[in-house]
Amino acid sequence: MIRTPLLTFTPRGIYCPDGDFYIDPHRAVPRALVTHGHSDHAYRGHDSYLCTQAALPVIRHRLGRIAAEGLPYGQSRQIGAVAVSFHPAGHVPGSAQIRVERAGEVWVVSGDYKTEADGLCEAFIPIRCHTFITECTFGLPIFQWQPEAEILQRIAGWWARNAAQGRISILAAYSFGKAQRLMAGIPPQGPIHTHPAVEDVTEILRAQGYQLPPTHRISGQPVPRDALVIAPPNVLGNDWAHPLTPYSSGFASGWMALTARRKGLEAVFTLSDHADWPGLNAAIRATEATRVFVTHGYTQPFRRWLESQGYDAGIVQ
Amino acid sequence: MIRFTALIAALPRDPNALPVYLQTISEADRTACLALLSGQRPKRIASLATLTQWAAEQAGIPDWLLAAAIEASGDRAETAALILPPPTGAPPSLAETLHALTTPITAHATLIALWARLPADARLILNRLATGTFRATLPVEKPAPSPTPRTLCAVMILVQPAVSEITVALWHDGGPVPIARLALTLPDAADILAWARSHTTARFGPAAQVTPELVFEIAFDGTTPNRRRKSGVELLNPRLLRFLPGAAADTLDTLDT
Repeated sequence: MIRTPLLTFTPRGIYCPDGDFYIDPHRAVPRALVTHGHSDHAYRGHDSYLCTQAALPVIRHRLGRIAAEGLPYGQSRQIGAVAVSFHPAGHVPGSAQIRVERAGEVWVVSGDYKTEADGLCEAFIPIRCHTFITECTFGLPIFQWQPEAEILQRIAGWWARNAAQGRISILAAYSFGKAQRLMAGIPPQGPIHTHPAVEDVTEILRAQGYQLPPTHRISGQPVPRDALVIAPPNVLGNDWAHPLTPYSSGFASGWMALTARRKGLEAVFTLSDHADWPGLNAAIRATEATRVFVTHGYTQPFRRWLESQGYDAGIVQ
Repeated sequence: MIRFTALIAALPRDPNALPVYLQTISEADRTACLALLSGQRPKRIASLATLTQWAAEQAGIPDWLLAAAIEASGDRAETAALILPPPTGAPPSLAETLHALTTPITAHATLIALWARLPADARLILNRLATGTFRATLPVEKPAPSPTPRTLCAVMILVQPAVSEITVALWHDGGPVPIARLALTLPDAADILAWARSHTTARFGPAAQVTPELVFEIAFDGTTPNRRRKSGVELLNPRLLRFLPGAAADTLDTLDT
């Protein structure tokens, strides 16, 4: 008897026929399993959401009134003919890989992941499986991260130099995940002030018990000159930052590895919430999977690379 | 090389970087630095193509993967610097590096030995020195505190979701003419990419052509003529300011303005 594959690729996203659910679907579906709260994974409009308990508060904050349930990491849930469970992906607080099992056959969907532990979010754990569906945002050998501590030390040095010159340091970072990783990890050189979009998420994560330093929401009051301001990237181009003049602006992202991406930016720091090339390769090896599907990133060269390494490799279409 | 790499990064913005470097570095490195900045560069020991090939061999990267990496980076010397494994030895000084480049036993052996002792950003400087493509920008005067940027409204015509890049265009003679390729670093990036998926009209490799509907505000510092561009001009330092939801695509700025 030929059974349908455990997971299939549809225009709405990754679909499990035997459980009748989608994983990170990008169009409205009856039942969505969601790896984490970033908006390109947790879309609006699904009838029901299942995610980790840790991811649920931010997802509710972003999507409003939704029918949603949170599962603890590692706890198995039977859905139709399959068992599903969520496992740490190390990408942002609450992020997960999703494991799907049917009669001993195991598939894992990585979601977004980072292999280096950052001290804030739940550290990535490789899950043994037969088929691994992996992101490959940085799936080229030009992407090799330096240890996080070195980058954070460099940011602290930039902050201290600005403070000594009476300039506020504005660090641009995505409001959920990167912003909190930075405030938790940068050796402090002064007070930390936050854009309201960053502070909203920070308050939610702090209430969940994530260890975050004290921060001050910016709402018109003066900001001390030795402050680090953490704000979403779009503020660097608009009027919001104007009252903070004189300031120095910095941007932290994996894309800063490339000179072409640094154009027009003042201070740049290569710090990513995704696995680099060695990280992707190590993570895939650790799953002991023989078949790998790639998605989100440099899919064509990365698929070919995996094939050359002996994997049965395909692209999520 | 570590201090010299930091100096080259700081030069365009920080007028104090050079005096501080010169006051605090060894005599040999001071002499070497001043020679380099006054235009006395070492003779090239390898072509950019050859150097990149050697780096790929050293890193165990096949030709087709190297080609994909060069395409993503847009710069061979940078690609060669980034694909190599992390350094294992202590970094050489600038003077030591220049000495090795001017008295190579073989160009190949010299580069392999130096690569193994330098982090990626310093390897990039080395690669430029070794291929005769090193250029340093000396600060002529203090940069203006905040240059007044100009803005325009343009429509999105192409999307490269894998690398979060979009191409925007202005109308000219009734059709869209590409004006800039930009990193999509907006908070609504995910929604824009999702929209693009359902409004794709054609695909060119990793790029998707989309219906020209979404309008963005672009900031830039000026323009320079460029005959290689269809528009005839290149925007200086273009960056995405914001997405203008609801803006009509037929009310864009034109190429003439």
